[in-house]
Amino acid sequence: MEGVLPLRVVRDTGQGTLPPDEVTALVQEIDRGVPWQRAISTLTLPTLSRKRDWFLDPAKAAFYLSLEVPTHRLAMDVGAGSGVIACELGRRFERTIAVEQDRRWCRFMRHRFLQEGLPVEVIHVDALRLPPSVTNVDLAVVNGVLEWVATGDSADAQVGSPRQVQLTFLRAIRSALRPGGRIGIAIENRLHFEYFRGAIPHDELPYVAVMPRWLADAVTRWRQGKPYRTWIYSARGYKRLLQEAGFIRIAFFAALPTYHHPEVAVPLDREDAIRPYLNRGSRSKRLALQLLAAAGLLGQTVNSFYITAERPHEMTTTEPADAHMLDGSREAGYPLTGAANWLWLAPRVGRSRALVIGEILPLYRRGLSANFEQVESVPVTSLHDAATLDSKGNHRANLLYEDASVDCVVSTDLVNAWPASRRSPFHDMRLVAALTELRRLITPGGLLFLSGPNARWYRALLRRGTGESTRFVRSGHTGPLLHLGQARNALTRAGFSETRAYFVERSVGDAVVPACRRATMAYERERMPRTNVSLRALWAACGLYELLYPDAFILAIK
Amino acid sequence: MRSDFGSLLEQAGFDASERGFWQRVIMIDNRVLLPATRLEEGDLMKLHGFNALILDRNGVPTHFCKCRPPTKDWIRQTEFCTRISMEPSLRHVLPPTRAVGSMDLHMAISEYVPGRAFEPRVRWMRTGKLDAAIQEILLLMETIALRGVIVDPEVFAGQTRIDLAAEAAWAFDTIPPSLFAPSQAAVVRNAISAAGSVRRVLQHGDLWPRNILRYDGHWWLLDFDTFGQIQVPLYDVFHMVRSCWVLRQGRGEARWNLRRARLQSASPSWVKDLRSPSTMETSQTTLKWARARQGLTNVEAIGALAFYLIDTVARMCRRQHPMQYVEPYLSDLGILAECLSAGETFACAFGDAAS
Repeated sequence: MEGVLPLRVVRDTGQGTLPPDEVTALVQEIDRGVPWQRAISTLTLPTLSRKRDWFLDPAKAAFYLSLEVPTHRLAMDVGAGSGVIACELGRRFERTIAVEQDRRWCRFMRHRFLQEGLPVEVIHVDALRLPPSVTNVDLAVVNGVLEWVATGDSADAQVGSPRQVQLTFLRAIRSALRPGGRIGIAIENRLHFEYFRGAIPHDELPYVAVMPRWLADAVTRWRQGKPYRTWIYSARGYKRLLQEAGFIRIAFFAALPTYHHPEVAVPLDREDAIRPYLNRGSRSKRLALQLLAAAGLLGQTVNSFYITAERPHEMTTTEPADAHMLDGSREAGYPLTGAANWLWLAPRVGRSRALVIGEILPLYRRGLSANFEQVESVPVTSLHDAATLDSKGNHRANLLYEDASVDCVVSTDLVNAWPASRRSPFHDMRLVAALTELRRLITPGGLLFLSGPNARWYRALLRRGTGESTRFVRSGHTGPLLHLGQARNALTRAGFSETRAYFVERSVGDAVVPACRRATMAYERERMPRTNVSLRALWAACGLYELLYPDAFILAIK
Repeated sequence: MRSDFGSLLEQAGFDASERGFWQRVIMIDNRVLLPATRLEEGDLMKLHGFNALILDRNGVPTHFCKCRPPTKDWIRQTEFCTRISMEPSLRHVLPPTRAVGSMDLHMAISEYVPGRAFEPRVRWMRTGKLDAAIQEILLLMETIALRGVIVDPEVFAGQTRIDLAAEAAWAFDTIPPSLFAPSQAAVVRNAISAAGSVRRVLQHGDLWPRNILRYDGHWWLLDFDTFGQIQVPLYDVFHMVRSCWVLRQGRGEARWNLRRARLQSASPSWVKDLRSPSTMETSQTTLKWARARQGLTNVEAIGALAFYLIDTVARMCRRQHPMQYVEPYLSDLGILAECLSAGETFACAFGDAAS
């Protein structure tokens, strides 16, 4: 059939990977000098016995080898496991790298490639931290790995939502590819019809894959005592993910019957080729599939996809790059750069000295440098330590700055990084003492800028509802969130004469919206992109505007 | 001491010291930092700054501000737009605008038009109605262009005709060969050269449905940031028609089917569709109408089309747009080069006027 890539006919023997004890036993067998293939064929272990093909089937690499790549110099198999795909890549490419984070599988692969005489280099590293030396890769294979990257033990894998971890992972691969280089991904389809009937793609509970993420997380925490992090998506979801990671020319194929034992790779609109693989089972199931086919949705309900995408060619320009714009985009991880433009909303202040509390993005620092002659820094811990109890039992802070010597105090992580605060730090009298001390330093009419993730953002609330308390994890923020009401109260107690609260929404460019109903309603009418406009406008009109925005900041005026 | 945004708003007639005023200022589209670290002319400076929406006490938007670095280009542009917006004949087309500025920021502040955007309607309009609407809009744009020349007679710099090849030279130098093959570039260059010189017409530069509103029975045109900088006829026509074509892709498909089509089909090409009489909807009628109205020959129209595509790609490259946005234009440019090599005359799109 035209457009159908035949791979090889093998029997489906189930899914999954080997339990750790079986991997250990397998590696021990090979360490004893048994050839790898013989060890796999003869070792009698419960899971291994059922999945011998898993480690031998060259058809698993057939799809990737069919991709057009710029050159055949370097291929990389990320999460190589037993090395079955890396083996085939090693036969076709001048050099192949197999990346694996499990030390035992690395050992297994080294034996395997040595015995096969293949030029495959095994790197034992977390896929989220590819060595910088891995560059100019022509083909990167991610076979059944993308869904697992957020479940690793490393801190990188634990911080942020699974989607963010997956994005970081894809971006790391993108930067390792040469311009025009391709990534090949094999992964399950979230909309596979069997998942609606209780089938389990990985080790989750039934139906979890098709639930809304927050519900899936809550159910998994409740029943399994761990978060739900093996996120899979529909074709549309994968496309968005890859686009966000900076890939172009994204194409989807149905891996039939599954990518674990592929026989053919078929474009999703080739229902004639897909139907024979799905028309199995009960009469009602066949009828349902016929209905799906009639609706043109059959391709969207297959078990798994093969996805390919390309790293775009870099553009060179005749004009020098705008350093602000590019650096800012990279540091912030999203295409916005005007963060320090909030200064234009502030009242006129002196421009001689700004004081930064805690860490600040270089982008922000440059913004402040453009507005102030002198920018100095104080770590959050120093501010925390400076706040002590006096003889009357009241908290006092003492920083080595003269009264009214600073025009503007800026902190983007005071709330987030305030030590030893599991609850909101605004309940901590030490923080109020520190804010009072900061007020002392500020010139009359000067500013304190305090920003952080909005504690009332609906997603933050959902996460809190699933038992994470205020320690919400997003974009590297692991501490408490900024509660505008509490912050305003604390600043008023610290003696600031006026506070202005704003929400920030990250879009094509930032939007900075005053924290009040009318402003949020007006903004929602103008908002781009125009997704969920009616719903959001309704929320704003009902006074639930605080739920809509992920970030917030406060300008406090002395 | 630098002037702040508040004092600029006061210059524009607002009372920024009024209680609660700052709860009525929304900063949108906040991009690269102001003040800019270095002030230079060119497109990149337009990425700096932010826009702001000013509300009245009832939360109704009244003014829209564009705040950019005070480059000579931007100051000249805002002054030009201010004068045009004051023209009595355009009082139902352009919102009244004025400009105020300081050392760090120059702001164009215009009255807010509370109309319905044209963009969401394009997709669902019938072809004939859409054609009529586009032609109305293009006629308005023609009027603005004529008034522009009267308001600022210097805008043509004493030249009534424009040499397309000379005008496009920078674009060919800007697009790297890795994106656009030299052989294809040569074909496009030849097509532009063949058009020779044409009559200058001021162009909006970014005329597409998002910059058009319908309010009070009139079409309102917005975003005149680049007005008059391009003076090649049909540029706005191509941009408008292409944008509408993009917005109407997949029209007639059910929603779920559309998603499938978008995911699976290779991205369609506007230029490819221009050649075919069966697949075109709006483009044909409007392009023929616009070409005849401008009095251009087919060769000149093709030259203008090639100019439009190469100029757009070059501007996107210069502004360092992500590749996914440049890609469709590049693909159109490549297909145009292929068509021209094969001797395509685009008779379906421009009619059979003698060249």
